[in-house]
Amino acid sequence: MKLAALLGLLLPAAEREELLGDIQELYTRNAIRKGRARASLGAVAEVLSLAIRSRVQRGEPGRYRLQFEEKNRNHMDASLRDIRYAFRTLGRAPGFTFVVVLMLALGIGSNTAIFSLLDQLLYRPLPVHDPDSLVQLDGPGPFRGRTMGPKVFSYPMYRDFRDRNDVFSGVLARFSTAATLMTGGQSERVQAEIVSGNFFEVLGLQPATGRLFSGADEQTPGGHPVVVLSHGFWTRRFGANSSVVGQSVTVNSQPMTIVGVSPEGFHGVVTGDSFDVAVPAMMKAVMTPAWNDLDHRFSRWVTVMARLKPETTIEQSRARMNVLYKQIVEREVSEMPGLGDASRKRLREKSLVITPGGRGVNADEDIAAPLLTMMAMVGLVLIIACANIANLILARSASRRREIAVRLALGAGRGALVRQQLVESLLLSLAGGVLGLVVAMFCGRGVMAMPPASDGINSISVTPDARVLLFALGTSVITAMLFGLGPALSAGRGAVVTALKDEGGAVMSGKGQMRVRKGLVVAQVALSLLLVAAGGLFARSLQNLRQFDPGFHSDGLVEFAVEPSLNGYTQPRIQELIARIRQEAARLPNVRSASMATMPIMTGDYWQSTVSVEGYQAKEGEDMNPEINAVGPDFFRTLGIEVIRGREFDERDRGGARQVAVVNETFQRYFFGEESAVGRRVTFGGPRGFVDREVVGVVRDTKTADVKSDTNRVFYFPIAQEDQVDNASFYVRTAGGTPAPGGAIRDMMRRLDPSLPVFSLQTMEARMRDSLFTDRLLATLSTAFAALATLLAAVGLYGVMSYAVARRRKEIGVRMALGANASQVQRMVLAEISVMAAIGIVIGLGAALSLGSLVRAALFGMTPMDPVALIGAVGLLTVVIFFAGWMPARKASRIEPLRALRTE
Amino acid sequence: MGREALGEFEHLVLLAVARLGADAYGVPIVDELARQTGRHVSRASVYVALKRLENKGLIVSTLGDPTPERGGRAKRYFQISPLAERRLQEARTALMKMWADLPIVQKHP
Repeated sequence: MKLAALLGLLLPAAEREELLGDIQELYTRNAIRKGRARASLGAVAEVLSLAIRSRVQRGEPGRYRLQFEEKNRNHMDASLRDIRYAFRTLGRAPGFTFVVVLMLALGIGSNTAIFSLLDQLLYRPLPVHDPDSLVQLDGPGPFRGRTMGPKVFSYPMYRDFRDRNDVFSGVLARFSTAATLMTGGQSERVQAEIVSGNFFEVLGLQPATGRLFSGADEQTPGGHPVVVLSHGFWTRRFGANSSVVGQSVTVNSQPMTIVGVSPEGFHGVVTGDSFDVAVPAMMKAVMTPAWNDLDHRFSRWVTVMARLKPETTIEQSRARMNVLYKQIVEREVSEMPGLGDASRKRLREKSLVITPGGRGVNADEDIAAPLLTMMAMVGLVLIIACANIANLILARSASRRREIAVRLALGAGRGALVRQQLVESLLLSLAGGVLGLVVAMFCGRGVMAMPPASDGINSISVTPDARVLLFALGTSVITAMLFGLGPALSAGRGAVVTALKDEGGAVMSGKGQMRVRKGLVVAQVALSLLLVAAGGLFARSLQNLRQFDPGFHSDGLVEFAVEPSLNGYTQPRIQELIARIRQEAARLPNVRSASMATMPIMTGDYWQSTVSVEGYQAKEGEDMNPEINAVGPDFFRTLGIEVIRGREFDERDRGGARQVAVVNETFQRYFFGEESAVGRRVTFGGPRGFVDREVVGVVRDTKTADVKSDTNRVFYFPIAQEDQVDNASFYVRTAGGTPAPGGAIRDMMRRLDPSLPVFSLQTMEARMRDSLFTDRLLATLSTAFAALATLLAAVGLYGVMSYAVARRRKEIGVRMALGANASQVQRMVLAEISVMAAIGIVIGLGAALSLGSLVRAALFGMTPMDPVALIGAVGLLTVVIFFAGWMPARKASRIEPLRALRTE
Repeated sequence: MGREALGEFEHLVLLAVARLGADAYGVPIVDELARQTGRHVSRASVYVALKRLENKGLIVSTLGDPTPERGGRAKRYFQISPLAERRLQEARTALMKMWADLPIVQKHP
């Protein structure tokens, strides 16, 4: 019965009391005869059926409809008339139209912008022949040897797949690397795609000009000095001039011939990524001078994709390929020396994973979660906008009741009225959609300005394509239905005579409609709270990340990098060059010190190697792979990393000198407990076998790959004692408050070797900002969306309360005539607002708490239950709501009783 | 409001209200209809009909006092208006005239 009483709220307020009374009476009677459960059930059913009947039967039977049916037969005519009429009506209410179109533009625009990103990064098929038959291969599980990136295989294993399968019509391999390209004495750093000869054939691509590679470009290692330019690079660098085909360029100091240009729109198979030049895999030794590994089974570096034969399903390919995979793995395991039985068993248990590849290789899976979060947020914003617009239309339809009544009296069918309303909504929505596309492009440009230029996402376009246009159109239509259908149906229900008689008042736009409108406001408040809470969480998380001490001083630190091996430098000359760069850089004005490392920090990358530690017995299966880095003299001083014990590297730690190492606190604690690591010996495997080193210092822990990842055990050794240096990242510590010496560094490098490209020249602050890209994106956008949502909710609340006050003018007038003073009236109105706000906030808070776990992974140093963010959101929303409600409340308190009473 | 023919159901509801006299409110009206016609009567349609009749000026209603067995809620009492009395009378007369010359139909098998 309690439920029935609650459901009684659905009944028309005027009749609620007596109807519920009747039902209560029946319940009491039935409870004795049939038991309470059945009586309750009966009561609920009665209330629902009463509610439905009383709502549906409101209007009068359409007796005039027949006259109109003749005309309605000509639908085209009727629709045109509807559209013309809608234009006229909207034109007469420019303020209303403007506000609604603006809200829609913001709502649809933000949705379209995020959808466009999401589509390009995750959903859009590759622009290749029959993308649905492409698959990607992956061999997860333990592996002995070197692994470069996710989902990669060794080149010999790729060849096995290619030559020994019976389910694929073609198998391709690719790897991406930076290269130095020289044309006409000008050198630049380009993104190179190292591809198997059949790469373009398997994808089914045709050249824009010249030719693409074929199986013939996969014969002799080092024997195919040819390049294919990407369409983008060809256009950007060579002005899309076809005569470049046949010309020679120098790639990593090897002359190569341009043989063709890949088709327009093809950016490679990695989503969001792009390439400038493609080079056959046979040229690998030139592309990555420090390592070739074309015939190395214990080095995994190529991504492998394949095209299914016609009539072959992905399941069949999984079954067939796993048989082959087991054979290959079995042979590899049997060739591996020094393996324990347990390890052998684990290696053998691996299986091959084949997934659909038509959408491309996912470069950055981390981006999916934040993008989907944002998509959900903009969806909520649009729903709030819809609720708001529905509210506006309801308010308007109340004032248009006379117009509607006149049309009804003149013979318009109720169906025609509903359709008319829908046409208006659709028109508004489409206008909003068109404007939304403009908003989306701006929004997209803003978002695209945020990621680091060096990062993968560089083939994203902000210009909407057919898919995005379709999305915007679909969203517009659905939106129109969302905000237009309810009011349209209610417009068709008005009673003619009462509306015509009723001149100035709004007695008829009953309490029911008011309830709907208040409900919409409550929903808006709840959704806004959800968004504000999310915005708060992400902003706080970003703040945590920014304030987090990474263990080194990023301010006043400048970095730049070189890859001398790409320019043909040999090992001794590389060592000479980088030592020289360090000395020269340290002598630049305002520079205090300079150093370098082979593994740059804060780039998301890290380098691990297996070590054995003197006096430490490793358990079977224990992770003995700390991070390692080869660094120059003064490295720790330059970065501001405190040396806790012993010393740091200096000029004495040369190639032939005693082999030394520095470890971080975590390393010391892990292997030596409370004892000092200084003087202990650590052995680690390098390309030339094992090297025994003595620990000479211990430094404070720092974050290495990025701020978010855990602090690892780190093992540093002198860069001069590393016999395979192909690149170096330099760090320059400037005197406080001086500008970054970018120009001076470029001048210096031009002096040292004009043909050597300098890249990643930036301040450490900029690097740190870049490494927080996704966090910044989430924080910025979610705060913006939250602000938008709050604004919309405030506008909605203001509108509804103003309307409510206007409706109650007479009542308030009477109250004041009877002695209520202004503050009592204000309190009364504010009390009403408080109820709506409280319900909305409670619902929103509940939703925020229960949905919090979805964003847990995106938060740093806090939980989704963060009280500051949640209480802050409640506080902010409360303030905004009361501000929005205060204006109508004040208006109510200024009603003059005499005038209010006279007007009605 | 123009003069409209009384629907059969409306006719029955009016008669039920008339029969109940001072005790005509929701629950007994529905009971009376069910008892006298022997049909299942949907409560919702009775209420809708009552409302329609009230809009047509054929019945008037007053709100009674709250009673405890109704959870402290009031009853709405209905009574037929003079207009309805006249209309019912007219309908009865018309029906009687139509029936007058017909042999009384006895029980059907």
